[in-house]
Amino acid sequence: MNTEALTEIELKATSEKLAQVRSELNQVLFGQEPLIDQVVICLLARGHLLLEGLPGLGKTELVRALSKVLGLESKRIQFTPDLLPGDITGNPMLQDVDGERKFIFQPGPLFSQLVLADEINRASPKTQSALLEAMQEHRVTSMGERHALPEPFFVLATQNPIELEGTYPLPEAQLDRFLFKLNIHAGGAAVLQRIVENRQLGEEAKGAEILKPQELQEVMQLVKRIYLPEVVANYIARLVHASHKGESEASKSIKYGASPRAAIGLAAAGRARALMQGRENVSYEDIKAVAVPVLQHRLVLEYHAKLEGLDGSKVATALVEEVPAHADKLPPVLAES
Amino acid sequence: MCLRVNLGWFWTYFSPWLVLSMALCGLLVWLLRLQKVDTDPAWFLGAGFVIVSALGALSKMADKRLNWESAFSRLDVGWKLNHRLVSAWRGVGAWPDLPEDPIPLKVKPGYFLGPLLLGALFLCAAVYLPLPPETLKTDTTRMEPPDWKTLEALADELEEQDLVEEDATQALKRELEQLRKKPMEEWYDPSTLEATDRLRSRMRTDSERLMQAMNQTSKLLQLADTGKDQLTHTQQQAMQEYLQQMREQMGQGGLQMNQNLLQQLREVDLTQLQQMDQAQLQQLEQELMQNAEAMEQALMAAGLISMDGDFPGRGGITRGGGPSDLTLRDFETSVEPVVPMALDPGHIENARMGDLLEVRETEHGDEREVEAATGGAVATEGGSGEVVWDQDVLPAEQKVLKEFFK
Repeated sequence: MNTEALTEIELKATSEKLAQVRSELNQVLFGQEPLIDQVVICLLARGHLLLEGLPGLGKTELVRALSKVLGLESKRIQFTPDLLPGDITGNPMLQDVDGERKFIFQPGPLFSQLVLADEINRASPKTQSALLEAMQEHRVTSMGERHALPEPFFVLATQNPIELEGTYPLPEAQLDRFLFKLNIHAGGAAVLQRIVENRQLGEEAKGAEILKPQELQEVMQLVKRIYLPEVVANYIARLVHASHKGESEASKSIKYGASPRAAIGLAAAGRARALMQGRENVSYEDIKAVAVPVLQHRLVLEYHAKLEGLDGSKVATALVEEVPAHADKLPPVLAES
Repeated sequence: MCLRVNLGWFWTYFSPWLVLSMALCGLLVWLLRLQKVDTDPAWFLGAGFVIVSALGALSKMADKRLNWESAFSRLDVGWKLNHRLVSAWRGVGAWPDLPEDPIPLKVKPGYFLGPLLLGALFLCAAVYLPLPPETLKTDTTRMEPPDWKTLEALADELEEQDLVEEDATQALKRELEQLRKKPMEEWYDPSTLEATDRLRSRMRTDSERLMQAMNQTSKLLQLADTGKDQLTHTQQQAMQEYLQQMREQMGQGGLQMNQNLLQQLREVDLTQLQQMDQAQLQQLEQELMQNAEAMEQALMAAGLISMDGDFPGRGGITRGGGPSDLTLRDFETSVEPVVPMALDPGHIENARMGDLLEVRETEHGDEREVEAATGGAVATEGGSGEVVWDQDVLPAEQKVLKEFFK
């Protein structure tokens, strides 16, 4: 890893580019600025994204706009219960090549830089699991042969929180592969008015290409060079550790806490946010801003917590509020002013 | 920031012990005040406890010591610098411009002043709270016999003026201290009062003896000085012998004269008056006179002798100088004797044991005519006793007397 600190010029140029990306996306998806920021952070941290929201809130529009703005090739897979793993990864086909019959691998829709896995929880666990290798190792294996996926490779999956009959909730191992889980909420009346005024039914999302795939790769390399102070790393460790049973007040609602992968994801997302804000170092604020999207889908809640109406988001918020940023306490005679 | 936080931890660990130390110190001071003894040991003990507590707090503080990265991190958060200070300290990025705001830490006055005020309250209470009334009653200096103070003051005065050797005055003080050590309820017992009287009497006797010796020596020297030309050698020798007696008297006994002066006196030889330095003799004479006067003043101030002379037989509430001595001196004391009255001779038959039968003006019945002879024999028979019974009393008178004594 290149640990050399970023220069002022690199920082300035990158943050300006990213600001353009966010601005362009905001022209497509109105009133979702925080969501767009989180999506960009997730992509810069090389993470996969799980979007949860009602139909018609613009999930597909967001993916299409991203592919245009970032210059990435995108494909959409509509997950259904009868979808088979081979349908998304690709299948070997028997073909006649120079008089010989051979199995030639035909890549599936997964072979794309930006994959929208729509309603991922409707597919069978078998098909869902086919995504594991692709998401973690950026490759698929068919008949013993490994096939690398194009870089950069992002999976943006959606799931519908209602109509849960006939669905297959994602297993914890699968959920852990997603860096962020974001909830999309409808905007207010003003946002709706803006959408009505600017969009036509069936019209494809507009958006100019701000970054090329190569430039995106370079930006992602810059993310790795963002400095993570020891005190911030300590905060990340304490935050993740506090999610385990008995380690905090909030953990009373948690059956199983977050994994080390969550801690790594928090650091990566914090770095991406710092870069997006034009800083060469991560701060407590960066970690707090990305903690809920990183942690909420990784926490397995107790049964009583679900009965009380708690969800991952609320418990993760409680954790962030409970764990102090500074590891060392102040003496009672002093207070922060 | 580091200093403030570290001092804050020091205070956190130190303040409870400080309060405890001050409370203990206050309690000790209070107890010592009750016992009417010096409170300095309590203060020293309290100070020692505070020092030990401070050292303990310092060692405990070391565990909580704030490191530089944490301190910069706190400043970053307080000044909203997003950890730019921490990064710059680690060599990443430039040092940011520091804001004008003060260090984002404030002291909680209650936590800081509370222990101090509480401790001070304990100490003030211990020092300024009045003692219970029953404790005031035990002000022993007011209750001891007044003669103790008088004698002690006299000893101090004699020491201060360097009139006598210190051994005697120190011995007197030691004896007084022994009396003081007795239980308070025995201070006015007859035995204690008699012991006090003995001390007083002894001091008076010794002082008067020394004072008279100094007076007489001074007068002797004056006589020698003024009449050195007329004095014969025999007279000079007699004076030298008398001086020798005085020197011995002043150098012995309960109170001894100042050794320096005594040594100067020893060097005086009245048989060699012509060779002696007249100025030195006069100075010695003056010193003796002054010392005698100073001693008299001290004795009068102590009430051991009175201003208008000290005569026996003057009783009173101060017990006076005791009963009059019935001496045969030509001048009698001022004691007024009862005039003896004899029984009327007409009622001699009614006389009882102890009645005075007759009063006669006569000489004392001493044997003035009796003279000793060689070998212890008596030259004359004398005029009393068996001789009077045999030679002067008639047989009828003998009979009456025998009847009476029967």
